[in-house]
Amino acid sequence: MTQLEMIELVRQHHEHLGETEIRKLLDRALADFAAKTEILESSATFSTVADQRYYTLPDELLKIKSVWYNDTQIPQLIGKPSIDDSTSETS
Amino acid sequence: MATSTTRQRYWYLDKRRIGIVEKSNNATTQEAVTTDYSSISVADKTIRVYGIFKPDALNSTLTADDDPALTEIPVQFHEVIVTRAIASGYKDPRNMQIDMATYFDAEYDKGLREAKKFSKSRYRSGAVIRPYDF
Repeated sequence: MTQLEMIELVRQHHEHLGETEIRKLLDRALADFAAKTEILESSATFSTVADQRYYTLPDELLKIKSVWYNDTQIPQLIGKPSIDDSTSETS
Repeated sequence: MATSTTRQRYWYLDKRRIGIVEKSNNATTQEAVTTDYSSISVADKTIRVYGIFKPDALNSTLTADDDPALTEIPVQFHEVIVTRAIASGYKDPRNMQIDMATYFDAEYDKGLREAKKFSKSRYRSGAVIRPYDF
């Protein structure tokens, strides 16, 4: 189904709504659907910077499944190290 | 005796950031506190984060000639998403119809259950074990 087809289907029920409002309803429905079903698996990639501890995650990321360092899966640390020696905050 | 220089790396979450550290004995000491974890000392190593993502927002500059299909979500669930939007529309004070909203919410929940099953199976169909009489 294309985006305009989806908008048209909603409009059949809600003639009083403009296209922007319908798009917002569909965006919220999409976000709710993706969060509840966990249907959209994907990955984000970035490169390490020497002595940098933290890297900002993409806003679209809802839940981390696994993290790989140079093609090797690395485990999650429970808690946080007691010393933060990083020189910068984010990538 | 040969010694290994391989360091175990770990990740952890800090609000909307991910922390990447490597472990070695007594790696960092500050204010009389010692920890085995230090920030990664090597640059340009690839970190790949696999996870569940939110789909892109719909394009706001659509025309009839440039109307892409919603490819991120499997096509059989597009109508489920529309159902949710219709239900939300019926909760709008300008057109409030609670019975209609309830109906479409129930339809959405039905579709959601199917989508969850589909999501867990990840495009694999289930195997059926047939009894066989020797």
